[in-house]
Amino acid sequence: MQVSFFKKNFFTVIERSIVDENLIAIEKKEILQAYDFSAWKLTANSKLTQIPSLSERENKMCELKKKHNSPFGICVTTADDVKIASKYASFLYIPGEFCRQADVLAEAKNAQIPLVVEKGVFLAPNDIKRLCEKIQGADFCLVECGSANGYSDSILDPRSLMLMQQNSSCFGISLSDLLSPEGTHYAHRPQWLGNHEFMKAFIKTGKAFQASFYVTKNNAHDQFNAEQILEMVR
Amino acid sequence: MQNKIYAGNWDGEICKGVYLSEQRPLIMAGPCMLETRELGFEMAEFLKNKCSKMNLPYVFKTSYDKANRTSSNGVRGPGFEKGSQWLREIKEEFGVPILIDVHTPSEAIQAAQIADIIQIPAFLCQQRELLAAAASTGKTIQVKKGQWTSAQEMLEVAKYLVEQCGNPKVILVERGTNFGYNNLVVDFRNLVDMKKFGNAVVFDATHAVQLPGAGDGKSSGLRDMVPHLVKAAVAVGVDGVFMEVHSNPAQALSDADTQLSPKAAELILEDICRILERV
Repeated sequence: MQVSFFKKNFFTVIERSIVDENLIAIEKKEILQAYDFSAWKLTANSKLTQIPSLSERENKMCELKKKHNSPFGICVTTADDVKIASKYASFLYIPGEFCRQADVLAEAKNAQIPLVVEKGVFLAPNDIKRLCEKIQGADFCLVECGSANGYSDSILDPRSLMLMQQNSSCFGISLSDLLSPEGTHYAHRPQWLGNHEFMKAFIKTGKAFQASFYVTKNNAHDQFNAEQILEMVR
Repeated sequence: MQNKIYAGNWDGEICKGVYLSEQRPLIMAGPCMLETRELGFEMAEFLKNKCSKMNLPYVFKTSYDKANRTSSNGVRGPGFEKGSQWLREIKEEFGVPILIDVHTPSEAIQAAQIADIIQIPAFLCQQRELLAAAASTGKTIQVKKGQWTSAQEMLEVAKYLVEQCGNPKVILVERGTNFGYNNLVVDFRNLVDMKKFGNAVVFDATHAVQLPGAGDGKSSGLRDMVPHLVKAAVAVGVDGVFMEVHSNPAQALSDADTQLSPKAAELILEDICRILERV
């Protein structure tokens, strides 16, 4: 039996980075990079309307592949993205909003490349197994991003962690999503933003459920960076 | 009937002579999935006739590709080629505008060939590429509010479409908010909040009663609650009401627990007229 990519490659953190023109390959020990080539998610006061497709950024991907010595991932949001990204990436990263999109998941599975799939904040723990059924046979791991709890809030539900443990060979926890759901920035609870104690609590919970890694976004507001997370995990 | 100017100076016209309006809300109704040509014809004819009788403007809604079913075993529908052909025939036969949902930028461009309203599903409501592609078609763009998003975040979506993409023909839809797992509640404050800056707001009556994922591999729902939620939404004030109607809901290939029978839909339309008279 083939050993999972996620077991073979020792890492503790996946860092999500948005690619700009000046990007150079980011390589850090114990940290896997997942690159986002398009700012696909609408945030407040966005003015960007001409969004280059992945095919338009193929040169950049090719350049990245040449420069990277360690494995790296590419964020995909459509079936077409999967076809292009799988030529260059070591793994594909599927954001939670797309965890039910049949075409994206089917194409990702067919690409026969390791997959990191986030659980959408709207998905009940019991539906994790439905998500896994859609990519059955692929080498995949899941990421817990919290569960929506009213507006502008998400919670870490241990029932999700238990089901992730049961349904995938390994799983991680997205600390960025738990500490600052995008587009909200905890307007009503600013003291929660990037709270050090919460961060520790999430990591401890992750350890209790044998989470294999943590996810952070290097563009998020008031966040800890990947090295700081690594330090806390140790 | 044109009675309001919406954000971006839009007069609310969906297609020639069909307008959004709080006085006579636009009814967006039809089967969840375009299972067969016959089902489409039957529902379009029935709903068009009932709406005409009650002087309510009408748009035929359906999906030819359900791309985000709960389970991998879920049926997806006839697909674009067959589905768009059937919709063309329905449009020709009954003279009704068409509403279709899309899941990718290329689907949005494709759907514009037949649709008068392009709908962005709730899960994808913040996907910038999809919003920009849909807006570029010049069609009316209807965006469902994500089950986890606040009204404030939806105002950002509307602002992006109107100000950055240059398409003022935007409708925001309330369809319920996660209330724990497998349950949605409708926060009627959203109907008020999303109208800020003059946005058009529609209430999705049949998805709002869904119990997501509660049906062992599919969504369940509380169909009996639909009339009550519609009453409240119309009383608060909406520019349209969205509902899924099937000739035989129990046998429907999707959303069987929430789609309405034609009779139930007719009673709701009558209710809407009564509430409008009262408020």
